[in-house]
Amino acid sequence: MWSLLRTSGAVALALGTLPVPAVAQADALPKGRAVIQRFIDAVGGEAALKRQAGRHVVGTFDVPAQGISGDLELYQAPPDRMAVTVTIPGIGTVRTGYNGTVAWNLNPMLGPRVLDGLERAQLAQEADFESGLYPERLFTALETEAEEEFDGVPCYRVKVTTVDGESYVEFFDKSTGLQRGSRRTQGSPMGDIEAVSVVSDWRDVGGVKIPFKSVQRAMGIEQVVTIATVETMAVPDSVFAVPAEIQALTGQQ
Amino acid sequence: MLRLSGARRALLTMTTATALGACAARAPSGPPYDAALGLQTFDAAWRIVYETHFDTTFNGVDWVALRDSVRPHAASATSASALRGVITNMLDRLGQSHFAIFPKELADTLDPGADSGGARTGDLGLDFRLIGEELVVTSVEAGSPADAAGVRPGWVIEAVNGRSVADLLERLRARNARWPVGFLVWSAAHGRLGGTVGTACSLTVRDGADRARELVLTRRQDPSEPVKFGSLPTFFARFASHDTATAAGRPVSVIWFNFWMVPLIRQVDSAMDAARAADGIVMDLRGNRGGLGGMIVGVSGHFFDTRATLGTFRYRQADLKIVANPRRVSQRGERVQPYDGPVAVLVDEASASASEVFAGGMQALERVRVFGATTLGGVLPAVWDRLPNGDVLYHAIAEFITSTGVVLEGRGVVPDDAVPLTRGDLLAGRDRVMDAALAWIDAVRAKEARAGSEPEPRMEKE
Repeated sequence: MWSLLRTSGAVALALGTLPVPAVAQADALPKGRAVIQRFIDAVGGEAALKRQAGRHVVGTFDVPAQGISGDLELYQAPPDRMAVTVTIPGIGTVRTGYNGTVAWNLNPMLGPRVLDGLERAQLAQEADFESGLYPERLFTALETEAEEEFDGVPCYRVKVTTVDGESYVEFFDKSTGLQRGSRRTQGSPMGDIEAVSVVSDWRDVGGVKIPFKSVQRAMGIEQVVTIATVETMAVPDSVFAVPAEIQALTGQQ
Repeated sequence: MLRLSGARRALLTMTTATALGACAARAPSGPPYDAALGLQTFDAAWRIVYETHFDTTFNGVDWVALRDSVRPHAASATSASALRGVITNMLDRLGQSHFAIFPKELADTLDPGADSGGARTGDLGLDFRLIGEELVVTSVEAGSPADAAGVRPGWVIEAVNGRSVADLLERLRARNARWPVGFLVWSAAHGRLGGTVGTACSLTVRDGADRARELVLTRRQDPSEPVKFGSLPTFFARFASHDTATAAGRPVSVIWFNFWMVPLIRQVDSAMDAARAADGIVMDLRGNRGGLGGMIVGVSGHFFDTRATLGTFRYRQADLKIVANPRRVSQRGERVQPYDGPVAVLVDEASASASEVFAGGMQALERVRVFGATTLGGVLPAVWDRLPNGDVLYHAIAEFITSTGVVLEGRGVVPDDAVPLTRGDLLAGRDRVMDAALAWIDAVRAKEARAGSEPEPRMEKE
C-alpha cells in the first residue's frame, strides 16, 4: 500500500497556504519518520488504509517521444501480492508479478525470468500492500536530509535505507505532505539504472489518495503511467497465481 | 505500487533498432512549408544529439561549431524535404550509424507502400548481392513473381525499370564512402524493386548462359508481417525455418529471420523447441538488418545454461549489459535445457545492428562460429524522438562493446570462416556459406564422437 502511494507517487496540489522559508535550518528539519507519518495522514490516515482489501487499477503506459503507447492493468492485495500486465503494440504482453515469495517477469523479448537481486527486492517492496502502515518492516532508516526543490516544488528530501541495504531518496511536498517523487537506482535485466520518478494527480479513492500520474525518466527516456480507474476490491487469489512458465523455472507447482 | 517495473523493464531493454533501409519512402505532400517551424525542428534535432550522444566528443566533431555553420542553411530551407537534407547532412558529419530523419508520413503510416486506394506494399520475391561489379540473384522464393518469370540464382540484374545498376553503383560509390557499397546497392535496389501490389516492374537481366533478357514482373503482396513500433517506420518482418542435414547425415535446424522484431519471437522460440534434438543449429542472419536489441537477451538465452554477458551498451551515463537469459522453459511450459550443441551464425555485409550484437557477442564468448562475410558495422543502440514538425529523429545513444572489448561500430563482425559468394556457385545451386557451416557442425560432432565424451566445455562468463 505504501509503495503504491509512495515511491510512485506524490503531489501536485496547491501550495502556498503556509510560507516556506527559502533556506531551512538543518535543526528545523522534521525527522524522517515524521515526514512519512505526515504522508500517511495526507493520503487518508491509517484507518482508511486498513479498510482497503485490495486494488484493481486500469490505465495506460506511454513513451510520448517515441510514440509508444500501451494498456496496463494492475492488481494488488495484502499483504504483499501484485500482478501487472502491460500490452504494447509491436511488443506484446509483458507480465510481472510477486506472490509474497516469487518475483517473476514474462516478457516475450526476454523469455521467462525469476527475478533476483535488486530487481526482486524492489518488486517485493512495491508489492507490499501494507508498507504504509508498517514502514519499519521494509526500512531500517528514514532520514530527512534537506529541503530541496523537486520538480519545481519545495520538498523534504528523505533518505530511505531498506532492509536489503539499498539507499535512495524520496521527496515529500512541504505544503501537502504528499510524495512528489524519488531518485533511485532501478534494477533492470541490463543492470542498474539511475531513475527519477515524479508522481502527481493525487485523487481520493475510497478514502485514500492515490497518484493517477507517474513519470519516470531514465537514460534519457521518459515513461508515463496514467491511471484511468481504480477499484477497491478483494482480489481473487487466482490473479496472483504464478504462471506455468515460472513454475517450471522454480520447480513449484 | 505504481512504478510498474514490468512495463518499464520492457522499455529499458529495447534500445537497439535499425533505420538502415527499413522501408521505402514515398514522396510526401502536405501543407505549405513553415520556415519558423523548420528552424525549430533543426534546433531540436541538434539539441537532442547534443544532450544524448554517448560520446561527449561527438566522434571528434565540434558539434557546437557545426550547428553554427549549418543553421543558416536550415533557416533558408524552403521545403520539408530540403530541411531534412540539411539535418541529414549535419548528422552524417558524425560518421556513425543510426542517425537519420524519418519523414512524418513514414512515422505515421503502417504500410508506406499503400496507395490512396488501399493497395499494399508489394515485392518480387527475390534477393541478391553485389558480387564484384554485378548484382547477382542469390535466392528466388518459390511461387513468387520472380520464380514465375523464371529468374534463378546466379542471374545478373542489370537494370530495374530501365535504370542501370552500373550507374547506381557509380553514384553510390561517389556519394558515400562510409558504408560498404555492397550494402548500399543492395538496399537501394530493394527500394527500386518494391512498390504497390499489382504494379509492373521491368528487369533487365543476364541469365545463366549470359543471355540478355527483358522481364516484366507484377508485384505480389509482400508476405512479410508489417510491424509498427511507436513512431518508427514500419518493419516488414519475416521468419523461416527448415531442417537440413550435413554431408554425414546429421540433422541440422536452420532458423532465418530478417528483423529482430518481437512478433517473430514466438516462431523463433518454437523453432528452437523443435531443434533441441538436432546435431547443430544454423542461425542465418544474412540480410538481417537489426531491430529491437532486447530480443537478443531472449534468443541468445537459448544457447546458454548460465547468464552470459554478450557485451556492454556504453551510454553517456552508464554501462548496461546484454546478458543472455537462459531459456529453461519450452513454449509449452515444460522444463528444458538450453541448446548446448554447435551453433553456426551466417552473416554478410547486409547483416546489421542487432544482428551484429548477437553474432559478435556470441562469437566473443566462443559460443558460435561465424561464417560468411564481414557485417555492416552499424552497431549503435538508438532511440527516436518526435521533432516539432512531426518528423522523427533517430539517434544513437550508446555504443556496443563485446565481452572481449571489441567495438563493432565501423568494424563489423569478422567471420571466423570468410566464405565469398561466387556467381558460379549460385548458378550451380550451391550455398557455400551454408555448406561451410554444415561441414563445421559435422567436424565438431565427429570430434566429439572420436573423443567418446561430452562436448568440450565452453567458456561462459557472468
